[in-house]
Amino acid sequence: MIRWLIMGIVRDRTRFLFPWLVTTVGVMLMITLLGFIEGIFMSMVDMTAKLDTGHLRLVNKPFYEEEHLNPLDRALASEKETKTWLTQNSDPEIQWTSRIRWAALMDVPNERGETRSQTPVTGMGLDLLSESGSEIKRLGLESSLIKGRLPRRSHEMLAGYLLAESLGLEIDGKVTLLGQSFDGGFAADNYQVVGFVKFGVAAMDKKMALIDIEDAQTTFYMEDMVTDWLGFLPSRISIFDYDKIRNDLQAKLTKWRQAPPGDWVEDDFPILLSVLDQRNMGQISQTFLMVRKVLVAIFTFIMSLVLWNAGLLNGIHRYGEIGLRLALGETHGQLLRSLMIESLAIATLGCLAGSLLGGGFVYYLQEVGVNMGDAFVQTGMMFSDVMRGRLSLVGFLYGIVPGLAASVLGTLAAGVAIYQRSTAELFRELEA
Amino acid sequence: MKFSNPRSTSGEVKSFFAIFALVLLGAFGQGAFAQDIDPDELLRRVDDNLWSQTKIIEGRLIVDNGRRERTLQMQTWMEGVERSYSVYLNPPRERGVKMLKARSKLWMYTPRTDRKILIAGHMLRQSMMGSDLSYEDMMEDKMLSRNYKSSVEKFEEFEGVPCVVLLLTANDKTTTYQSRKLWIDPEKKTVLMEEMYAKSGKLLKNVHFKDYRPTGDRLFPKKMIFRDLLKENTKTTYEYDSIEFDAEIPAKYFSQSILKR
Amino acid sequence: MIAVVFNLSLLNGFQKQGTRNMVNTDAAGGHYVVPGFDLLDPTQWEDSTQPAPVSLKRLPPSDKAEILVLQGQIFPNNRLYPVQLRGVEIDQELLTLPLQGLKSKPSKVSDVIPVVIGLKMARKAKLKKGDSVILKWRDGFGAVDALDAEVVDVADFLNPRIDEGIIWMRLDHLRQITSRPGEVSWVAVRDHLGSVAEMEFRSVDELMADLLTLLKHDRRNAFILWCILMFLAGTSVFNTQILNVFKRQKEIGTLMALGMNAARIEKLFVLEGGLASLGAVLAAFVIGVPLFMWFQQTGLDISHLKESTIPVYESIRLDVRPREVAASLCVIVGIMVFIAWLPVRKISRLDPALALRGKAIQ
Repeated sequence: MIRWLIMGIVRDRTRFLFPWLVTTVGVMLMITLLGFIEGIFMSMVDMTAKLDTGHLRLVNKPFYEEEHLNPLDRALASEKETKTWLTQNSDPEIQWTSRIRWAALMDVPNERGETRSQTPVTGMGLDLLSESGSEIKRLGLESSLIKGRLPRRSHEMLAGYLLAESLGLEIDGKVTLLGQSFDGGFAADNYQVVGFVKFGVAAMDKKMALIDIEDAQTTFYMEDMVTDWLGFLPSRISIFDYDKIRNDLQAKLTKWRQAPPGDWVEDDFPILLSVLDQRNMGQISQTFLMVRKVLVAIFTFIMSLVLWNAGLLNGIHRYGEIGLRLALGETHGQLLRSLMIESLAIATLGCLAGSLLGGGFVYYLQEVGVNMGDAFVQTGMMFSDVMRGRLSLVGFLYGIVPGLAASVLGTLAAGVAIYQRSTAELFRELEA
Repeated sequence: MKFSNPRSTSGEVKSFFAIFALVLLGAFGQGAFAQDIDPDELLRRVDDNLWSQTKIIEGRLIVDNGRRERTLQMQTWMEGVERSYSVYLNPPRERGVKMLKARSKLWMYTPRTDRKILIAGHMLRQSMMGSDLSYEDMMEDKMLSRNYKSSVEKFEEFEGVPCVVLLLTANDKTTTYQSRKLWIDPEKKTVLMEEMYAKSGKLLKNVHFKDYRPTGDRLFPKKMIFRDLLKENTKTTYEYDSIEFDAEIPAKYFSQSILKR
Repeated sequence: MIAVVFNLSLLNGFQKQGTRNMVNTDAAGGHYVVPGFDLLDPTQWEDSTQPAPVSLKRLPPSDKAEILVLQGQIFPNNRLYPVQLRGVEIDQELLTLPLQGLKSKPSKVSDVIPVVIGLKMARKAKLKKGDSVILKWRDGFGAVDALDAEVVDVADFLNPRIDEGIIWMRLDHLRQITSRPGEVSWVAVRDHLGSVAEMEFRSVDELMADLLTLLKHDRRNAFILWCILMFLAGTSVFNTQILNVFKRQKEIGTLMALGMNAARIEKLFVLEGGLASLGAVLAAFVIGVPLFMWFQQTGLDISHLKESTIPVYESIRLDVRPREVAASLCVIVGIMVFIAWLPVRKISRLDPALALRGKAIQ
């Protein structure tokens, strides 16, 4: 019987092809779409993570609590030891990088070396000079550079383009940072501005300067100290797993705090945060989930309609066959069941193909991205010109389950028509 | 010294002070009658004690932010109320940092940057080197008797010394602290404690003056402890090691050209 | 079709609500700003104030809101926290701000300044309703001043941009404590009133530039969504039409036998398809309108978004834009007609004899 069914499916092109195609396309679209919106959402999360919070963040609690003041004196010591601990204790896939958030007065000299303009700036010290260039890639600095070049030597700086505008900065011009060292002392250092960047966030474009982390350590006398450890997870890990990863590491951290590195001060209390704990990303992720639900509902509905349609078509196409089978004594129920099994089989095949195609497409989006560059040249925003998808198990589930369900429901709806046929009329129909 | 010509305050206040003073006199059994104290004159005498046309001072600024203590050693040349020049001697990191103030401007020079940076306007309100003093506080070394009207508020013992408490009210609306209170030892004309108030009358900062030492014909506090009372556990201490009054200071000390390596 | 319009409208609604919250709480119809004022440069705030121009002052409370922004510091738990002091005319009706708590307060500050803060600010500064905190500021002459501020309300400012780091108070209070009678940083107005002496106009678009860019992204995503929906709807119509041709081959055969040529029959079918899609529009209208009306009343509850940084959180209502609906309907009908035509081409290849017997298409 089953073999007969399979042969029927395989040999009757029209019986198989169309519903299969619809399911395939539907599932593919669903997976692509979900991957796509997840990609959009994740790019927002990623942007926050990359610029600001990391997917995971190890930070000293006293620093975190007064973050708005950039209290360098609450930075966390023992950079090297912390790095070793992090790499040994966390998943090897997490990339850890250290940063320093600082604030200082930026002073621009005139040709006589006297103050021409000045303003308070907030900045970031991050690895700009190492061979790997991982932070440069992470922040997409190359593409957001709108003038000048990236730093190549120590004491070179990137400035937000609006900041550059308001201070009248010039490429290769000298600026002085005047601030407080980590121990409350006086910190002053000269930098050469080598490039202007556009972050696409007004607050950053106006007030942000980037320097190499080692320079920041020199300028603010923070040898072996940083304010932040940011951990970055590979893009395939779902955002909803972040909390678990954080908790796992947090447990180890609690142990580590009992035998802390010698350079930590008594009230140093490093804590772990995930991106969802900060900047309201947790709430935003709730919205995302809601939007996704609405989308899935709409799509399941429409796909059911289409497959119902296909089922009807199928039923009519096989009008004769069904008539014959009824005439041969199959009951309506048996017939419906066999049709359902058929459609389930087709839907499964369709889902498989759709998953492969959709998954492949999303994978492409995820790894390569679609460059929407043209449309967004004028905004010049970081990250936003390349659209990325995001592959996730949930995306597949949301594609496959409605795909199967819609297919079965569609057949069921169409199959009702079978019941409407009376055996009495069958032969007249067959004669025709 | 003579305490005559009391400023006329309202009859009520005067009589209140008279009674209060009598009580105090009973308690301390000594000197100054309320009527005898001319607060403005007393304030001038205090200023005379603390101020001179020129001063060369070497001392240490100890900043304690509740977690760490840092000591900065510096030498300062002052002329009048408007001009001063300081060089940092220690710690090694700050050595050679120079600050020149003239009127309402402050220039900083750091050897590391080899630049002079003008700090003006609102930047002056930032805390200086993480201390409880803003650059402005440092610069607002105004002569109190010129900028404030004073009145006797009460008599009170402070750290075992009977004191006159003067209430100072600013003459000018632009003065940062619109009122201050001084605990003055009327005998020695020394300030033991000063409180700075917001316009509304809220207490913001205080300064303890300690270890008065005779220096020439004056008494000068060896130690001043500044506290920002809105913050927790922080204090900044200034302690001088050597001081010279009315010394000849060459003009070059107050010229921008000194801000060089 | 309902889905398409629904989707578009929902998105519109989301965006509109977002912009409207920005507009309602902050941007209004634009700001007349004191020249040189830059919200991102706190050190310059106190230099960028001036008395409100008479022409703006004269406007009724429903058409303008005077606002003064100055720097201040609070000291929760004896720790310094720099804040923005924002004074808003308490009688203004232009902006929707949760400042009712301040309304009943006397117009003169005595010992305590009543203030309102946002949820985020409250969390960050660890303050709650009824708490007192020392507030320190500089008055217009440069003198330091400080008083206790009492948090009379921790309110939900729909717009996170006006929450964190901001202490809200009555404009008359802020002016009084800073000795800046009549001064403003900007005046929010309902409509652009042409140029006003000594003030610089900033339009809503300028004030919300980054939000608008974000919305533009959303538009693009909506378009992609639209395409996918269209594809599905198209397949469905394509199907139906195949079904149609299949089921009606006898009819087609008859028509052919009666002498109608294939092209005319094609036209007939496309016309039918077109009419059907018009019918669908009608049906969409009949089903959609009550559905939309119902939705308008209930709204999509997204109150859990309360604390997100998107300035939207009440129920989202659809924003149906007639032009957009009309445009998408036209496009939909157009596409449907085209798709209806595709399978019908088969007709021209039909053998009338077989068609008559219903065996032309297998």
